Amino acid sequence: MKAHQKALLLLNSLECLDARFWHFFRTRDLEPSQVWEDPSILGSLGISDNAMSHLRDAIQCDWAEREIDRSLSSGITIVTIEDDDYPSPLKKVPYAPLVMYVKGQLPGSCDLIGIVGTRRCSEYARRATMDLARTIAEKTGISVVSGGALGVDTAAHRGALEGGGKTIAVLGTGVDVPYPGKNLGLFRDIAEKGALVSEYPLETRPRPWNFPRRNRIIAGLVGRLIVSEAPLKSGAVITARYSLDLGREIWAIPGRIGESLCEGSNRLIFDGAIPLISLSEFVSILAGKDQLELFGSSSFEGTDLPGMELDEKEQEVLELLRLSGERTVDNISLEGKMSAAEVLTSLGNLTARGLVYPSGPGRWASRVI
Amino acid sequence: MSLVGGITLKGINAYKVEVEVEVTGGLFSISIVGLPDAAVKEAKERVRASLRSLGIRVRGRVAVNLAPADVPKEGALLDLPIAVGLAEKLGSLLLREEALFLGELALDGRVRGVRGAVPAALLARELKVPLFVSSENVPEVALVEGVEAYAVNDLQELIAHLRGEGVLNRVTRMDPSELEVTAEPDFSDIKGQGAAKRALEIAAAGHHNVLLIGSPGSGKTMLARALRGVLPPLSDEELTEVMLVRSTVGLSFENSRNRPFRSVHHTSSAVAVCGGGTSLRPGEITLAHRGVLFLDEFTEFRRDLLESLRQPVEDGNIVVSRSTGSVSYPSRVLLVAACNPCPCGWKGDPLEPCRCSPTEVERYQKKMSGPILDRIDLYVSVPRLSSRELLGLEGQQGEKSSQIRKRVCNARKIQQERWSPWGYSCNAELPEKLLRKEISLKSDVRTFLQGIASSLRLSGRGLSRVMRVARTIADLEGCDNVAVPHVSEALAYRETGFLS
Repeated sequence: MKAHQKALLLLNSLECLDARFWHFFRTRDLEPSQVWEDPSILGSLGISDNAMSHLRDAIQCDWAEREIDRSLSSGITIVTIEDDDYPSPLKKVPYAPLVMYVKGQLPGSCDLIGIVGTRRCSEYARRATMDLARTIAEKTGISVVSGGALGVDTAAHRGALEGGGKTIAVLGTGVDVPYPGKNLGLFRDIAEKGALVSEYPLETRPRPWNFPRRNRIIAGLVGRLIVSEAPLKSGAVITARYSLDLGREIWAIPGRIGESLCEGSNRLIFDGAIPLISLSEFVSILAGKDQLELFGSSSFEGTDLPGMELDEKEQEVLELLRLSGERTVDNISLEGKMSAAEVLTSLGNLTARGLVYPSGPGRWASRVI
Repeated sequence: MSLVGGITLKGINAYKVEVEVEVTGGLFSISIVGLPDAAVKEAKERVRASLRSLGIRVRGRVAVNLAPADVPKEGALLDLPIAVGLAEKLGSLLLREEALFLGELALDGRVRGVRGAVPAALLARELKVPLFVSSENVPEVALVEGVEAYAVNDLQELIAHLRGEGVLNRVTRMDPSELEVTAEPDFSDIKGQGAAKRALEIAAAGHHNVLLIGSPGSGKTMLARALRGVLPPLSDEELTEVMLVRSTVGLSFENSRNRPFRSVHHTSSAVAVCGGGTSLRPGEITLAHRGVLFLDEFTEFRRDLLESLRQPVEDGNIVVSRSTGSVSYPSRVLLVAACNPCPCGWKGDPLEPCRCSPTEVERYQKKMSGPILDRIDLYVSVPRLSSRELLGLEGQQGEKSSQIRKRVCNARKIQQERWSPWGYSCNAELPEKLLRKEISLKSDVRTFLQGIASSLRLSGRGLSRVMRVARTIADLEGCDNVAVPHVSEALAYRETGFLS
């Protein structure tokens, strides 16, 4: 074990120090080994008595050695700020974490996109996020970073995995603590095809103040951040604020005005974030294509079913939903002059092809293009 | 052998009770033996008083034996046979033939109606003996064919009749062919909700259980109530079954061919829903036999209650076993469940914001899983229409329930003919294996099904459910073969995505 690794693990366990402290420490010409050999010098660097006693306890029981053994045995890598494989975008971030626990494999490329949003998202945002992440993974191969929470985060991870891409989840718990428990399966998939990342020591339970803090890592990791749907007071807006400090490019998916659920993301657009109004345009910008595809000529693909073409009625229903947004069966049958049974037949077929989806009780909408 | 017979109920069946009376000298007392409950024991006061009102004085020591001695007897329905037996013993009348008596006595000799008249009539028909019932019970007894029943207003009339003096009115059988379906509300009264109406039509046609999901005020309860108006009218046989159950709990005859509609509150106990108690009363599921059992606020029901509903919904009967014995009740019901999409009810609503946290929603939707959901074939989400949407529907005349009912009846007939060799009458009853074997699919439908099964990641059970519903849709159209549009429509009634 290298000296700096042990020193950084110990300092990181205090959960209040970041890269700035380490620079400060190094500029004082102190040796890493002094952290555990003579912790009292840390007191002069501004560490509180409380933290000092915690640190002494940890040194007493060889916590750092045991932490390394534990991570080795469960296939978790510990990457410190001094290591070469520490993600390079984070190295320039002043408040980067001292240590990162990684379960899985961090993607080699540093070009990453963050997608964040509220946990209690609307069905529309969930679908949009999923399609967005899937298209990014399919068309560009760029990895998607998010926070592993329910709602938008889950949709982002799932979409990226479905598109055959890699994805990174930055957790607010220890990487070995599956939280929320519902995402256990998702985390397993991410560890296989991407990475679970956390700065918190193993077995750290979910505590409310951990989550806003981990958002700075998402902001630091990514080159572009997309805010999917977020109320004014939300983690996603905090992430956007960090990203703004770091000069990252911020995109936001426009939501309906007057709805508190997307007030934060709409406000970001007002403040200068780029509105994401077309998946295909966004992806072609990512892919570095010179010319934007004109509005309306977007490449649109549904799930192909063998030997089945959309019939007239299905076309009509689809067009209606694309033009007018969310509709009930009654609306469609009135506007398209069809019986409810005919409308439902078309909707059933269109859902099977993934072209429309039920967006709320009794309401249907066409897929986000 | 005593010629005076009464009945006691066990489940929905009546059993004959022989009433024997002995009068000896001594101080006045009446004792009743043969496991009587409190109501039977108290009969002695009513019997004595009503005989006295006719001028028959009861003197000496009276012993009443209710045979068989080891079967518990309950209720006031034995008042009349005890009074007749006592009157005979005291020499006021002479019985020439065996008869069944059923009724509660008032102190002035009037005879009140009791529960259990229909099972008693069936028993009387089986034993080929005349039955004497209170005139209050006449409408239900009139439904039973081939029973010799007499309507009794008071004890005096009855005793005169038995003496051969006055003649009581014989109950004439009511012809059920005049009965109609009069269920309210009518489908045409419901504005919009085309999808839900169509789904309920399919549910009625194939006897598929339904789950309605929608925000408060979207009209789930009204739709569920309207469902019985599109169900086929009760057949004569079914009408008797329904009346048999209603009669055992003392519900009167509705004078129509309406199928029963029972709404269960989510605080109901398992005994209230499934039946039981010391007297082994039938539960709501039995009262809904041949009709609709409606579970509103489905997610609020206790899990064990829903679990205990599964078997009777599947098998069409429920065996209630208690220390006092066990009885089998019929429970062939069409289950209609309704719930909100989330605890606050507004998830997915375009106007009202949902205030639930994701964990709350998750916990809520977890309650919607479990074995009972396997028995639900149709998932219908009901939109809450905004006032603008409602106004847009003004002037639209929906189909009348009677029109839809005609289609449903035709579809039922087709199913009955198709499945009768296997002993089933509708698509929903069919076991999965038989359905897969016997459903006729053309090759294009087969490829389509394979396509959707992989693209929608349908489970085996999910696929059977789609096929089952598609079969019913085809039957509604009178098609022999299931075609692609039928399957397409069936896909619209799957457990929808916004719940996951």
